[in-house]
Amino acid sequence: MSDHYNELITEIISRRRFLQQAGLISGGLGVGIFGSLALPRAALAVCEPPGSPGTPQQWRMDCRPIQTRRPASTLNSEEIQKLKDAYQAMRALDTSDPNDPRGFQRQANIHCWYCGHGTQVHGSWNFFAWHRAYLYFHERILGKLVGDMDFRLPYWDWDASAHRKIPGAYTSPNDASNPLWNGTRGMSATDEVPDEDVGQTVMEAALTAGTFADFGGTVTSSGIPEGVPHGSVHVDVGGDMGAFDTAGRDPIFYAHHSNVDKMWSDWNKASSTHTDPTDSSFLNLTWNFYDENKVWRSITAAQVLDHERQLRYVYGPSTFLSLLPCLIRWIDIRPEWTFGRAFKLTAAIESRLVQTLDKGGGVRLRIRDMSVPVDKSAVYRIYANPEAAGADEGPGGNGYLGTFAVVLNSLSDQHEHERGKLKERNTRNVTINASKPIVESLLRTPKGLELTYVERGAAKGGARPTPVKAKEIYFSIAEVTKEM
Amino acid sequence: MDLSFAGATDDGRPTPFVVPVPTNWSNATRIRLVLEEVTVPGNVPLKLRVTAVSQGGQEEFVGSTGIEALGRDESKPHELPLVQLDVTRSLRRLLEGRPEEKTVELRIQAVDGRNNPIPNLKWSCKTARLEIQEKAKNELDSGIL
Repeated sequence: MSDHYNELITEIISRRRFLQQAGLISGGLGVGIFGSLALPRAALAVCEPPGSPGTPQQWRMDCRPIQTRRPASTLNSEEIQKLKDAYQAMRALDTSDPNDPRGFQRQANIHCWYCGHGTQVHGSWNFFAWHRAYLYFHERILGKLVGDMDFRLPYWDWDASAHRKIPGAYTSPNDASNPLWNGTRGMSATDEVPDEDVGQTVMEAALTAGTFADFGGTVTSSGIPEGVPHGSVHVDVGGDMGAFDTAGRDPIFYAHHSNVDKMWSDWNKASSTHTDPTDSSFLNLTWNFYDENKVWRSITAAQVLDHERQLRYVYGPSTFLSLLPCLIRWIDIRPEWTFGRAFKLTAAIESRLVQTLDKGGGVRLRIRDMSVPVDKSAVYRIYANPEAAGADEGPGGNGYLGTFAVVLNSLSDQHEHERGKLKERNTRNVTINASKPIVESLLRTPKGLELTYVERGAAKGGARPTPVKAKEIYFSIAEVTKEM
Repeated sequence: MDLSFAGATDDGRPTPFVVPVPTNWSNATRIRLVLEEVTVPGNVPLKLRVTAVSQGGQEEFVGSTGIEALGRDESKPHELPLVQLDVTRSLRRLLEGRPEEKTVELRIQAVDGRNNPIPNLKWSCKTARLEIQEKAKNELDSGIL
């Protein structure tokens, strides 16, 4: 920790102590009075509420042209200079007018206040929407300070494997002459965010989260992406970025959160079922920010949901999203198959299955409307042929494909069945996740597939394997590369 | 099913714990590791990094999640009611060869931004469990085996 930082903290503590002694720091009265005080420079580092500027004005419809937020790595030298000029101007306000809410430190304190000291927007469904609103006003202020309301924040696309280092604009020069620099970072200019924090597995988990609760959280819990990749990148950069109360002091925070915001945008685009909450308790979440003209404004979650139409920005193309449909769209391949006959694969299908798996894709064997016994609850194993089912070697063994269970609702159901009254459906749709060994096992069957099931462990006791009867048997594949 | 433990290692070593494997994990669209009542120091940013030992005896990465500090000078602990990690891919890979495993031993370690263990850091977690997300209703009977 730097001497300057220690000095600042000492001043802060002294000032806090003074205010506490004066009875001004706790409760609404304290907040109100403190908010109207002229703050000395040291107080800028204190995590304090934004003051009591009266009733906020409603956010007004933004009618600027829609502009693109682009990866920081793609900015040209002119654009980098404008970004630096904007932050330089913002930092200059800290000195020239510490009371100006558009100053860099005051902007950073917003995050501090909303992230534990005053209230807490992390760990709940506030997270994505609040940060979008925060960045929106921050971006407008930067634009105003450089006289360009078409200015848009860049984003740090750490999800692109070539961009795991902090973008060059933020580290070059790597000293205080660069307004995008922060000397507390634990991550050097040459360090990279680990793949396990932002790589394909992480992004796929985030962008395929089935519901907003999973993606963006609920009233009381966070969505998974808030921890990783979001939280992990904070920890990876370290220094000011590693803590709620100081994260906003590092300009990379805004580029990081711009990418987090893009992730929300990409999640919305990834599926028609990826919709935001419609509950009024979410839509009416309201926060207050100063705008570029120092006007105190309120904005609701509902007003930030459509960033293109309402907030007038879009994002550049998504590397991961362009791949995503290939990861989640399953294409059916239907080999010729006739009920009661062996299931034979053509060389073309065999080759496609193997290639799909070799490239990291997925293969599933689907059995539609398979007849299953419903006389008891039991576990059954499916094999590639009767011989393998007779040997019943189990998982990893010869010809083993998978296991399915028939679970009757209750013992009384079973008794009902015995009395012939059970209306239990006797077919199931069964899907086998075909790993490489399973596909290889399928390909090694010279006579073709004769799918057979047997009650787990019962074959050794003499139980007869039963041929699979189904309406249809086919494969689904998900290719990682573009469609063939 | 929960398996309570009070993980609190202060020597930087991973905390091992055994969690039941949900019986229907192979039918799930998602598998999550859910940690409840996690307490970490309020002044240290960290990641909880989870690994497991594969059948071949190798340590395999399962998942990781970042936890920001409250503040660099914060003396209070950072209490998180719920920490969730998506472990669908990694756990499937781990369990693929042993679908009938009833439990799995996971190791959680507090690490820094460079994935180095943080020595002398005390953290705890009240319960840990694996949770699965079932398919949509119309897919309920098409289990992925």
